[in-house]
Amino acid sequence: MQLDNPPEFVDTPGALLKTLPDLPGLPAECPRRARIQLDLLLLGIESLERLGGEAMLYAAKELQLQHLIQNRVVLWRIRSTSPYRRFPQRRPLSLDEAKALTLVTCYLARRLIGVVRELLLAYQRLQSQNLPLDGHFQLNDYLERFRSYFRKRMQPRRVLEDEKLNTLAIDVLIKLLLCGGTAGSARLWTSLFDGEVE
Amino acid sequence: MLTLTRTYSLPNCTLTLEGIAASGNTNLDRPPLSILTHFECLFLGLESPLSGNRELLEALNQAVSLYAQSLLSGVGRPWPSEVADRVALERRSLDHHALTIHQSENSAGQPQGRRELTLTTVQLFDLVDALDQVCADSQTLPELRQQFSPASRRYSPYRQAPTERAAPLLFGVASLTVAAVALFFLPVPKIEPPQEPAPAQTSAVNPSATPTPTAPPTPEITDPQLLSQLREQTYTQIDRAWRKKASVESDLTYRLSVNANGLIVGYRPLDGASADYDSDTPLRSLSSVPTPSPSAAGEPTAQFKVTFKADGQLSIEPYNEGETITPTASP
Repeated sequence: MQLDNPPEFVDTPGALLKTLPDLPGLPAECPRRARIQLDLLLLGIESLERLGGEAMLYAAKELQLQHLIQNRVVLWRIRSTSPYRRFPQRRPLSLDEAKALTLVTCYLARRLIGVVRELLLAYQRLQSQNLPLDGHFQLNDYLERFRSYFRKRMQPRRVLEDEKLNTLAIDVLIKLLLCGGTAGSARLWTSLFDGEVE
Repeated sequence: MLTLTRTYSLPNCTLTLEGIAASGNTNLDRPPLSILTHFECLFLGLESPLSGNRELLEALNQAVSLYAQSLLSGVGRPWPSEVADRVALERRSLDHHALTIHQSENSAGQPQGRRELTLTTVQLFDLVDALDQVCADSQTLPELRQQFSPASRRYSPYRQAPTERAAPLLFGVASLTVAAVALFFLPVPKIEPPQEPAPAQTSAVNPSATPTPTAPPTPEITDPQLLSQLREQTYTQIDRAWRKKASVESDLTYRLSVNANGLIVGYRPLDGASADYDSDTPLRSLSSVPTPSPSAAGEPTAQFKVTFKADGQLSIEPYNEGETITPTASP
């Protein structure tokens, strides 16, 4: 397969931001739902991979996005623009920061695509046989971690019972699968503004 | 004229395109397939493949891409009629999607009618990705490109009607008016000098008096010699247990409570990042759960401020009440 625009790993910081489609008529700042979405997807990645936080910084470095995500605290601050957070940051999320989070999410989703696929197949199998979700070790591990991170970081009034958090965790898994595909980052980036433009 | 076949294989879906190269390009290594004659899409576990012509492929591509975008955002929108006339996709459950294809005729010109498939998310994703790969491939249908655009505000299920949006504002203005009127009639409160606290004899007179709801403050260890010994002991204990030094990217700060035996009986993050990343520190595994005995509740403790620095250094200082701690990385 020949790609039109193979991603160029040039040494210009932020060069990859330009690989996301230019969408006319975007608001100046990232909408509320988009901030919630990006933080949740990253929470899903952390629940899949024990080194989630470090992996995100590593991905930012690989993608030449260090000028936007310099360290853990900055990453935490931009993720905490999600209003669901227990300690939400009352600052806007700029479009460039949202692009950086989009690229980091899709980069990691692509790396984890084998695991995501396997967990979704396990979910499907358990559902079709009417078995409880804790019947699969890895899936249960992911769901437990997702619930525990969610409870620890999100506002108590956002926290739901186990079953609803499990559904949310599976929905996040489905989204991560879509993010990990060939056009994942362009599609995720566009979807962040669904229902937000004229 | 050169006949070409291109196959895009994913674990659950194989998409095969057959076509011909436009004249003039036939001697290239991988000539562009520019005229599609037929496509086939075979799902693992489903017997007969989906097949059709270029119009159907284009409609399928747009439909699947728009549907995938709506799965990400939760915002659906009406599809262009040339797409909706041929393809429909509907979510049946969290994990099942119904794909309906209306085929007017097959490649031989015979009508084929309607075909419905139920795809799992993984099968659907493989179809999305196979089509995305066709679009990204500059040597297959070069003018077929994935177009992305966000759905308009008018299709958002999250959008409220203007009256609903105005309601909280009107309610706010109304309650402010009511409050202003009510407060107008209240007398200005007189400032009285604070009264001497009542002598603490009551509890001595009546030992069975119910305790005040606020817990008595935990006594603090004040002996400077013991404090410096505890500080040293805690430092050694944490330093020895802190293995993931490299993972601390910026300073993490906590308030520690240490009892007279040097056990960490509690810790509290002093900012949000420290709360999120406490698993990078050994505090959780080091802190012992205090036994809920009456003696342990009032056990004297020493308060320290511990900082796990990004450069791998550890610092422990006495904790000063009322000290405002700002994240070290703030501008």
